[in-house]
Amino acid sequence: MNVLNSLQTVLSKIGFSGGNVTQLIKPSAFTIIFTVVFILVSIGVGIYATKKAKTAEQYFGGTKSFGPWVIALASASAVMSAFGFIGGPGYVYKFGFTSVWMTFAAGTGFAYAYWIVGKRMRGMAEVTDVATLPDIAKVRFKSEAVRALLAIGLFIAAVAYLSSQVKGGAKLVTQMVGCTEGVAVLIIFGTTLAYMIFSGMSGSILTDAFQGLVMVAGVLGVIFGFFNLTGGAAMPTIQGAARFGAKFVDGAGVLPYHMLVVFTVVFFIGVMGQPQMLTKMYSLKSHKDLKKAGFYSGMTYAVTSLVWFLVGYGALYISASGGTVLPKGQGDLAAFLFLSKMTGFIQALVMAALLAAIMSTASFFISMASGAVVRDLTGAFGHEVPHKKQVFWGRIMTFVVTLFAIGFGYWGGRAVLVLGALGWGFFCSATLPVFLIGLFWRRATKEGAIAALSVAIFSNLTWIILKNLKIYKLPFSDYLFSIGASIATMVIVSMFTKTAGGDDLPKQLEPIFKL
Amino acid sequence: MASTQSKAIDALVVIGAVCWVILIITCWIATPLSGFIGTITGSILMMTYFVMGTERKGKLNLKPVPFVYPILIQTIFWILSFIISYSMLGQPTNNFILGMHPGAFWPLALFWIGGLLTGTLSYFIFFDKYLPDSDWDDFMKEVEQNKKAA
Repeated sequence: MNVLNSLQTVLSKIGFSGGNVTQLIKPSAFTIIFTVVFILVSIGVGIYATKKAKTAEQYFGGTKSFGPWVIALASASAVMSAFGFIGGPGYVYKFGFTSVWMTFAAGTGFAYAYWIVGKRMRGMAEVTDVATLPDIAKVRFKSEAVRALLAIGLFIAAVAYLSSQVKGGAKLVTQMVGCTEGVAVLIIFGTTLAYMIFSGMSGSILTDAFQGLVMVAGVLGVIFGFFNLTGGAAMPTIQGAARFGAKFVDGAGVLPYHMLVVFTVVFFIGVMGQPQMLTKMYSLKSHKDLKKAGFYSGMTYAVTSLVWFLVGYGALYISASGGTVLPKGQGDLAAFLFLSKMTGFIQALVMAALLAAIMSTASFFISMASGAVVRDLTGAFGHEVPHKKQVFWGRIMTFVVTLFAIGFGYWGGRAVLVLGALGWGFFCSATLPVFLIGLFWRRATKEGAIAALSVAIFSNLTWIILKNLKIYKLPFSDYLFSIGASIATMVIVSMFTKTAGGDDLPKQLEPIFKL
Repeated sequence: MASTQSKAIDALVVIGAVCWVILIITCWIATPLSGFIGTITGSILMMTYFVMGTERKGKLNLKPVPFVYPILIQTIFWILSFIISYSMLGQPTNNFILGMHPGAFWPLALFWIGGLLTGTLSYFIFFDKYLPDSDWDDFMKEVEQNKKAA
C-alpha cells in the first residue's frame, strides 16, 4: 500500500486526485489479491497476443485469427459492459423488472445476430482485406464517404463511451483497493494500455476471453450470494414493502409500458448492431466456427445476465427488509449495496467480474477508435497510411486515444455526460442500415447509406443536446427514433438512387448475396 | 428485371422499415395500449428480419424448420410474454411461482428461456442447414474466380 500512497501524493500534486471517495466496502485481502492477480494475468495474456498481431488486419481486427470459444467469451464480455454489471442492477433498483427485459433480450439476440449477418460478415473477410467495419462499408458501397462517415461515428461514440467509463471505473476500483480515483484511473487504463499498445484488437479479444471467464465465475458468486441472502423470498418481500409494492415485481416494472418496446426490440435486434459483435464475426478462423461462436456467446451472455437480475433484486430485498435504502438518484450504488452484504471471498470474486466487464469493453473501444483514425479516416481523405506502417501508427494512436479519453472523461464536465449517452442505440443507428440492410438488400445504395449515416449522427446528437438543454425530451429513449429514422432513410433513399445498388452492385459482392 | 426472390427481400426490407416507424409512433403516443401495440409490432419486426436471415443462394427457406421452429414459435413466445405482462400490470399477487410474480415469471420463462430454446438452440442444432459446407465451398470458388478476373 506504500506504493499506492506515494502515487496518490504525486497525482494530487498535479490535480488528479479525484477528491474524497465514500468507501462503501472495506477492501479485504481477498479483493486486493484478486485484483492484482487479475491485472497481471490480463497484461500477460494481452502481451502474449502480440504474436497474433503482425499485420494491420490482425492488429486492428484480429481478422481470421481466433477459435469459437475465444470469440464467444470475448463477445459476451465486451457486450456486457459496466452498464450491465453496475448500471443494470441500478436500473432494477429504480425501475423493477422493466430493465430486465433489456438483458434478457440481448442474450437471446446473439444467435439471432449470427443467424442473420454472421455468414455474410465472415464472408466479407474472404472477399476483401478487412480490419475494420468501415473497410466493409467502403467495399459494399464503393464509397470513401460512407467509410468516413461510419469511421467518424464509431470514433465519436467510442471515445465518448471510454470517457464516460473513466469515473465509473474509478469508483469501482476505489471500492476494491481503497485508493483515490486518480490512482484507480491509472490502474484501469494503465493496465489496458500496457497490452493494447503491443497487441491491438488481437490483445483485446484474447484478454476479453479471459475476462469473460472471470465474469462467469462472478456469476456463480452472485447466485450463491443471492439465495444465501434472500432465501428465495426476494419478490414477496419487495411486494410487501410499502416503499416498493407490486410495481417492482410485476412483469413490466415501474417505467411506462411502452418502454418495453424500446428495451426488447432495440436490445434484441440491436445486438447485431454492436461493433463488439460484428467485428468478432470476421475474427473467426473458419466459417465452421460461426456455429459454436453464435451459440456459446449467447449462452455466456445469458448466464451473465443473472448479475443484472439477481444483484438488482438482491439490493431491493435489502432495502425492502429494513436495510439501507439508497437515496433517490443513487440507484447506481445498488451493486455495492448488494456486495456490502456478501462475504469477503464472494465480494472479491464479483468485484473482479465487475472490473473485467469494464476493462473488456474499454479495450475494444480503444482499438476501434485507433483503427478508425489510422486506417479509415486517413484513407477516406486520400492519405492512406502505407500498410506496413499501420501497426506502428496504430500503437501511437492507441496511446493518444487512451490519454484523450482519460483527460476528456476527467475534465470534460457536462460534455462527458452529454456524449456519454452515445452508446448501444447510437451504434445500432449507424451500423444496422449499413450491415443489416446493406448486406441483404441488393438495392441498398451508396446515397442511401450516406443519408442513413448522416441521419444517425445528426439525430442522436440533436436529441441528446435538446434533452440536456431542457428544450425538448422525447417520452421514450431517443435512440429508438434515431434507429428507426436511419433505417427508414436508408430504404427510402435507396429506392430512388442507384450507385452500388441493384445492377451496379460491386461484382466482388455477388458471392456474398448468394451465401 | 427483379427476380421473385429479390422482390421478397424488397418486401421484407420495406415491412421492416414500416415496423420501425410504427414503433416510433406507438412510443411517442406513450400510453399502455400504444405500448402494447408497439410490443406486438416489435415481435413482427423481429420475425421479419428472422425470415430474411433464412435466405440461402437467393431463396428464402420457409420449410417447417426454420419457419415454424424456431421463427414462428419464438414470435409466439414473445407475444404471449407481452400479453401476460400487460394483463398483470401493477397487480399484487399471493401466487408466486418459484418466488416470482407470475407477471415476471412467464416473461422470464417464455421470452428468455423460450428464446434460448428456440432461436439460440436451433441455430446450433440446424447450423448445417443454415450454412452447409457445400455453400461455403461454392462461395469460395466464386470469390477466387472474381479475384483472378480482377
